[in-house]
Amino acid sequence: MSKGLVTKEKWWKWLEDKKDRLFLSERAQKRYGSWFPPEVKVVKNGKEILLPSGEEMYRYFWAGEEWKVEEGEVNTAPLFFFSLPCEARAIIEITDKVFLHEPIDKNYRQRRKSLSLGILACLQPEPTCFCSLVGGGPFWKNEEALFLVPRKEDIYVEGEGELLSYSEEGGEKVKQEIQTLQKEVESGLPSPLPSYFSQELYQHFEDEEWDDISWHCMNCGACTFLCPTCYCFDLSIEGRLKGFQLRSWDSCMFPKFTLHASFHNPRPTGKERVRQRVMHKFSYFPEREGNFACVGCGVCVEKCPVNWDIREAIERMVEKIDRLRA
Amino acid sequence: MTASELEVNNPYLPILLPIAEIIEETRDIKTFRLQGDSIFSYLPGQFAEVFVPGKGEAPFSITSSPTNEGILEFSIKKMGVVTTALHRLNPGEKIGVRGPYGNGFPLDKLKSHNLLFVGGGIGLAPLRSLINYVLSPQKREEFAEVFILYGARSPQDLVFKWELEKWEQREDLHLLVTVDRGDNSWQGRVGLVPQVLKEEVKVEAGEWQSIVCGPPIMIKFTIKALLEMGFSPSQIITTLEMKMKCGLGKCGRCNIGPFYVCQEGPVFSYDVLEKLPEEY
Amino acid sequence: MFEKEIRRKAKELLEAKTVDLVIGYTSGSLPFQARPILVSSPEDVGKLVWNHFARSNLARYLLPYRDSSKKIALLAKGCDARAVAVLLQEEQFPRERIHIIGLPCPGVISRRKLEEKLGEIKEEDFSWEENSFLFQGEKWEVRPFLEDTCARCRYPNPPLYDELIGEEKEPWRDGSVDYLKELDNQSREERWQFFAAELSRCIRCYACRNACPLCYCKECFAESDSPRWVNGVPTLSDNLFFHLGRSMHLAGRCVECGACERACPEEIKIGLLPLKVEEIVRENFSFEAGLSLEEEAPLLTYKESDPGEFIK
Repeated sequence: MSKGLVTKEKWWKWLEDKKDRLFLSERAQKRYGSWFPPEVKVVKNGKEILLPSGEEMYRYFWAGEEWKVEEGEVNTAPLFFFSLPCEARAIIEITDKVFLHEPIDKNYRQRRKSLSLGILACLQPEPTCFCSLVGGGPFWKNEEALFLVPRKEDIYVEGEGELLSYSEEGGEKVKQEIQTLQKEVESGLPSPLPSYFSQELYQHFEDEEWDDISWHCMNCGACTFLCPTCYCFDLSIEGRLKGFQLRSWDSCMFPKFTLHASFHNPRPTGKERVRQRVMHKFSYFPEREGNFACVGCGVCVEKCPVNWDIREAIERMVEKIDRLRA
Repeated sequence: MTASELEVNNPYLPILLPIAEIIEETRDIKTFRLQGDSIFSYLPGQFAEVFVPGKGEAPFSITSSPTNEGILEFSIKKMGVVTTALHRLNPGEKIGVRGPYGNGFPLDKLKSHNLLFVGGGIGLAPLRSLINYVLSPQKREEFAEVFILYGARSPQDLVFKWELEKWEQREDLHLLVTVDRGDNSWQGRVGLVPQVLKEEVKVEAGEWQSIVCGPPIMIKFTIKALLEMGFSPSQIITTLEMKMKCGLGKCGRCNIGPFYVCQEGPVFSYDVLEKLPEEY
Repeated sequence: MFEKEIRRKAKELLEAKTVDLVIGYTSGSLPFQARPILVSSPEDVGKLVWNHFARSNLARYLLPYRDSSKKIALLAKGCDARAVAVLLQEEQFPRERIHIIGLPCPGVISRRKLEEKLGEIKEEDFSWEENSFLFQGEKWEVRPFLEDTCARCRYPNPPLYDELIGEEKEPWRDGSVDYLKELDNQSREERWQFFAAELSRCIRCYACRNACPLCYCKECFAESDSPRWVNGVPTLSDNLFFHLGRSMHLAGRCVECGACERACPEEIKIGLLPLKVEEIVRENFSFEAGLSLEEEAPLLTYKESDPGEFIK
């Protein structure tokens, strides 16, 4: 991995042949929009690229004598996606783990292989942000992605590849500046949840606290659909004599998500569904994959129509757990 | 990119197999016998996603035994859109299957034990896969005694009657069939499965493993009865139904606590199940 | 803003066991938010708040108690009370199990509009009155900051209540702004473009439907499997189908509270469709939903004398 400074001029030069293949997250655009050409495609988060709200998994058709099935095609032109650290983390630490683990999800894999990530440091955490609580941070980086800190006249870059060849050695001074900046941004952020949290949370599955925690949630899908990590999906068959298997977003907030054909529903009310959402992110997923399925971007908090705040649910459970441990 | 990297199979793509035969089991249950395919090799207790072109896809447990090579069977009750479409099909038509999915029955754990099968209604379907596996000439020696208790709501609701007759004639197993309510022509036993289990199945629990499947309420009372009979939770094995879409542990809906029924299930030993939240 | 009276009343009702539960608003985790809360103990009435940020229509929180035996006191703005009236008329809740604490509504203020006009804002910079507020010492009228859904409100006062806290208010809408006129004056083409642009942003999270006190179908047509009307992908055509279907299902029932629009995480002007439908109902049947328990809802009432012009 190398580090360096890329001047504005060289940055634009590097972007020149990538204009039609650039994606930028909505939140990164708000902060760094001026660093990207007008052609850049603004998306809510990486899910829109890797797990579109609707996609064909395979096609089928009546071939006159019998049914045939065939695979759909996935566009694999190389793309660049620039986002905040939390949004990149949602891909690398959550959706990659689900869709690239055996059995590999072919569509996801093909899109992912052609997607290069650029992480733009987060210099103004918002009041709804809580990345540090869930193991991330405003300067979170990953070896497979470019890490960028846009400054007044240049961009500090870490990583590998073509862009680094445009960079100049910044020296000790720049190193110091970046470190100071990071310290400044990170100061006062909450410390990570205790390591025992995911295991202990599960012990509180039956806790009556869930009634109160879940009460005002309306069970709409705003949080899950806008979440960069929520990946749960539905599969359906579309079309009669010719059609396809459709994958579309689904939400654990919806009663139909778990409704059996017999009308039995293992998660019949809002309470079970809210608990599932919290447990999946903070207990089940971490127990299986080693990290929370939440990156603390706070979009769910910001967009919730009734101000249901996952941070409060977590806080209340942490308090409970710590009271019992004491 | 190397050649091997390119060759990732699309796990959602079904293989199309022709229906060889359709057996009408009851007024709303049919068994579909498909011409098997060597690509599709499975274990007793596993399930598959069955695709009806133009209609839909749904998960069903495999009811045939892998020892019965060249066939693949599903017994399906008419309930919703997909099952209704299935019931309208004729032999010769093709349907899709993908899988097999799930863990299947713990064959190693069951080996050399006495096996008590307790089935209710269409719940016999997944058990039948294991029963025929155990009864097959290749495997019979690996297991000890076999006891099958099977019940249904009424004589009309008994499935696999044609096979129950064959089992009846075998000397290497005990078969008890019961119905909740008889009718004029019913000469057999009348009584709920858990009750018949307690009253008529006299076994020394210590040497047995029990395998239970049926409607949720029947499973609940059967497990209670088995525990009363001295079975330990680890000697009780059951297979669960959940809404499953992908079968791959990805779509996110079929979990009970941290376990995905499509991955770590659908077969659970009761000592695991009793510690899980009751969200099934 | 009558917060004290509300708390006192809630306490009194709970202590006297007149009701088992009080549904009202409490402060949220974010500034400029008041969110729904369930209070079951007299000690907790201090959590109740009443301010310009009571965005939800609380009538929707009654529905989970439909089949219980709980007696519930509901804080009800004009629109909440109208929604309750429709629920009562449609026999979704028994009158004797609900105690309506009516609150003449000062209108819900849009945080976005505050930010647009005042720049960066903090809660402590404000002191609120019914019709005006002080921001860093400077006085502002509430009106330009109201949510569109509330600026067009014609019924701030509850038409139905067991008791009223506060004084009845004049409606904000003085006729100077007609929220539908602008659309009515557009050509079909322009209107189509407007709605296409709005509805193509819909992610079909169903926040609008779930926020609506009158969308109480056990299975929404949008989620039905047989027949299947729409799939889960938020395409413009399916979005349009969903929102038009929802609006039509609310015809003559919608109380124009705008909770759907205020709930939308994408800030889509989703309230305009039911609003137009209600205008048509008003013109054709001289009827507005939820204003009285006696008047028959035209689209839910069969009359042999109906001219039936729609089937000519």
